[in-house]
Amino acid sequence: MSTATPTPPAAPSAPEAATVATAPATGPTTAGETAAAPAAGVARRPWAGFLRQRRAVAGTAVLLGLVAVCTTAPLWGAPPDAVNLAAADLPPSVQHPFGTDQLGRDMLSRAMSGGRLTLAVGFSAMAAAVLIGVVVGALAGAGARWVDAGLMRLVDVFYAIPGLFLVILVMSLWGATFPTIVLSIALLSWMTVARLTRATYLSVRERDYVKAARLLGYSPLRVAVVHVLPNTLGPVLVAATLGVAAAILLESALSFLGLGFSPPTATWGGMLQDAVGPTVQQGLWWQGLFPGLLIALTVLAVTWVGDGLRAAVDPRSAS
Amino acid sequence: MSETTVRPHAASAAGPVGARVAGPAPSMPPGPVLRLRDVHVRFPVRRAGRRAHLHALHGVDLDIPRGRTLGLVGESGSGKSTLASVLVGLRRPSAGEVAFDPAPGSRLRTARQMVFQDPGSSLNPRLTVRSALEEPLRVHRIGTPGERRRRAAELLDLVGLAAEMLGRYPHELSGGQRQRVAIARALAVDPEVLVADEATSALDVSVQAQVLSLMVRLRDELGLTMVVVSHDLSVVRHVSDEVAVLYLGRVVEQGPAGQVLRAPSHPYAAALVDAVPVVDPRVQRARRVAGPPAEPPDPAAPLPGCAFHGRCPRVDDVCRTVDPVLAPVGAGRLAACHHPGPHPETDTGPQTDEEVR
Amino acid sequence: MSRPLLRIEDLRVDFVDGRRRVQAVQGVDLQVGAGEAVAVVGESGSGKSVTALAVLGLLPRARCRVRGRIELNGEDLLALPAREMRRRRGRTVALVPQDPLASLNPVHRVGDQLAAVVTTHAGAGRRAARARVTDLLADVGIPDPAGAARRYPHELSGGQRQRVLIAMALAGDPALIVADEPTTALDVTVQAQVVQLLVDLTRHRGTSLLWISHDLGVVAGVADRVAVMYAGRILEHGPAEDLLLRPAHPYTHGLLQSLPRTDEAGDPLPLTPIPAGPIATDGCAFAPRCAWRAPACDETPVLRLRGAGAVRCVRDEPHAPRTPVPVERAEVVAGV
Repeated sequence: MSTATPTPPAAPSAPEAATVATAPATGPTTAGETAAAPAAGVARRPWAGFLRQRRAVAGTAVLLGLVAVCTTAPLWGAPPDAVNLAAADLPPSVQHPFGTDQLGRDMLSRAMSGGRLTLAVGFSAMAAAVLIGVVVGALAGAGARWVDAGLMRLVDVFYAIPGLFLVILVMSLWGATFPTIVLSIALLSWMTVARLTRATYLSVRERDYVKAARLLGYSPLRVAVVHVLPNTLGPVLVAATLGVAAAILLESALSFLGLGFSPPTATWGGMLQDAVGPTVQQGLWWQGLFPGLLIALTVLAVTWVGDGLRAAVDPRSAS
Repeated sequence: MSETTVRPHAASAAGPVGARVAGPAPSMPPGPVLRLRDVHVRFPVRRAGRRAHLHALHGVDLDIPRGRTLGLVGESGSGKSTLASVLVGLRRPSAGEVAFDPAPGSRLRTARQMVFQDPGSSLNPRLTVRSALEEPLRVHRIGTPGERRRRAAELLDLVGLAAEMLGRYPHELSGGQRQRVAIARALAVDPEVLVADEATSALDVSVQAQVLSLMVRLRDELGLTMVVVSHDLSVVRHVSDEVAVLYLGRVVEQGPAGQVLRAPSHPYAAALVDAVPVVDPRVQRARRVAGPPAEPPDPAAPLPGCAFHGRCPRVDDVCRTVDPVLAPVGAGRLAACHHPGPHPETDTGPQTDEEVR
Repeated sequence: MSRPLLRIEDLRVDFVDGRRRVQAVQGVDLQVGAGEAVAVVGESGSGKSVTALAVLGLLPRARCRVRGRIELNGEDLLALPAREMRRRRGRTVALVPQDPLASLNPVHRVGDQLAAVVTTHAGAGRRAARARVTDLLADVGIPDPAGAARRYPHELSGGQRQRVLIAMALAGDPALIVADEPTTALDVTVQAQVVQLLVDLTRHRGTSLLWISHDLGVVAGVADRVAVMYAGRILEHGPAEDLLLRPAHPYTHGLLQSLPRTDEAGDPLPLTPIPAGPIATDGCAFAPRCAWRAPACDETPVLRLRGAGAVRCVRDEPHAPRTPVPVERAEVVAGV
């Protein structure tokens, strides 16, 4: 079906009209050409589009701030594991801005060191999930029908396994260490990445420039690596960024259920778990509030960054 | 109007504007450059829960004459895009044979190139124009890096773009500019056959004219064999030496462009010609479209007999039962019809009145 | 002279996106009389579709600033609140959109979608609506209207879907139909039928037609009057025959020359494309691409009356064969 003019409600095409330039050699504003809708929307450099989204910039700033504060905490904060029973269960004060927990440990520094771990787990698990997912998805998309089918059945199997069971299995086999926790979370999340990668790969493969690459005699490997993959990764990376939020929440849930890191190691989820009893029975609200807020703040920031990335990659889907 | 440089192996000498002395140059082998015999292409589909086959191409016999331009006309469902893919080697037929006879010395893998319809997806968004043009040269180890850079600039100039476009990304170019880059990229490997699959259909009228004009000039200068696939009869008429009309995966008529389009033999070809709008209100308003409002049947559920019989004014019992074969109906003309021959309405009258344009 | 059915006065539409402002329509004046068919012709970016959407009140309010007057039956549509405009839409002015596959809801049967329009605007009950649906489908030439009403959009062919859209537009018996490229997505054989259908129906009912198109051939068969738009302005308008056979503006002339043509012998005539070039913001927008450019073109030309129409150009007729700027050189210079 061929159309010579784009349909009107796509406002980006309208701007092609009366925009500037009396000087000859300018780009997409030359008259009498097809309104290339993406040309009006996508900035010259992809980052420019990203930076224009205020939320994305704010989210990035928050994340960078959190990372900076958490990593430098040992320099300025109280030692997070210093037990001081005399100062147990103190509400927030100048000395202890987040209060203390039942063992008298300063909750602010616990939150910071816990943040280091939580954020590390979140990003590492996302990276691992993306690595596994992209490899599986790309292989499925690029491979023969049977390869595709086989890999997708593998994905189905993993979807079918109850997540909790998988985690418990991994923990009981190899204990609750940083690598195993990251692995557990990755094992729960890679399938979505794989499906997305495969779907995007398949659709990119049908694009005209890929057909042109094949016609120009490029090897299948070159076609896949130079032409298909780079254009596949865009949407995948956007989804992956949002996966960080999911990973953090998963880690918090695991800690909350007692399947995460063992004490005295602090994570935000672990702190939440420890705070249940005291909050409900003794009304020590600060012990749960701050870790919870930090989780929420991080997830929000990550979501904003992900939305900004999505808008920068594909302006038409900006929310 | 355009200055033409005739390369030594050019397939035609450029005469007065537009008119070409066509035909292969003596250094080229005789015979068609591409020959299709009884080509079928079937796609598996699901219809009403059962597996069926979409018979996109149905026994196509086609010769692509060397150094000339063939126009392939058809509407949706005609299989013209599938045929274009087969011609260029992107798709292998389910049955039948495709014989490609390139000139000696051409690189077999890249001797056939295609320009696609959608300017939005014809270029890799991640590559600059320079990369897109240099990559084929690099992959096939043509020239030194310096020579490749120069060649890229030459190619841009060949398609009428300024050298400063080299550093741009596709999203910084307009639709017409992208199509030109796509053409330049196809020419980078010195192809023998260039297939344009609705290459101008998505462009504005004025841009379409520019790109068409470019294609004609390139064809004349470089001696390419061109296949222009389009639903737009006026585009095809302007550019082609020969025309083949497709309907539901079959070639229903073929012959020299002027003759076929002035006095079509097959009723579908006649209907196409009749339907082309003429930019003259007196003519357009006087036209009445006759016949049933029927449309092409579902390609996945073909009817017996002639594929066109549901919509044909000349239909009779033979047509409903026997599928006609492509047979000669005059000098160098073929038609697949049980009742071929000039349709009374197209011999005279305003429908084929080119001079009114 | 009776008042025209539709009168657009100095329509200006700006698209605002943060700090960027794009002037899609820059002062358009247009009239459509009762029972008249007017075509607005232009390429992408000319502002023709935006103009049509403005008449229908379908421009997104958040992003668009619309100024001017759009008078329909004496009433200024731009001054109406959204609720009132919604009542007019479908009843007084209706749209036949471009892509039937995108314009019909795939999960509802065609008859139901049509019935919804009927009940909304003709205020009929269920049974009456169903009868009207069958009548409408028959009017637009769909075979077996009752059966077709029970089908889903994807079960119909492209031409049939477009006919359904036409039926939906006619359902409210509007005084004006705005057709936005209604045949672009159709095959050429089907296109001819659909054009004929729409023209017949509107003439028969005395409905006015505002036809937006880029296809001059289609326009030739439809329009009583034609307006040519470029860069948000009308460059020329007049009776179809005058404009298409004796164009006054160089752009119109160039467009007509851009169409591939053949001579009597069937041999192709050389194509003379309009050279590529930017749109000028000062003076005549078309000047950078115009073969008849003169120093006077640095001032924005006004619309001058010419015969039964008007032209926005300092020249009189672009027929004096000045040597047009050679295409290749102009392209390279303009960097396109």
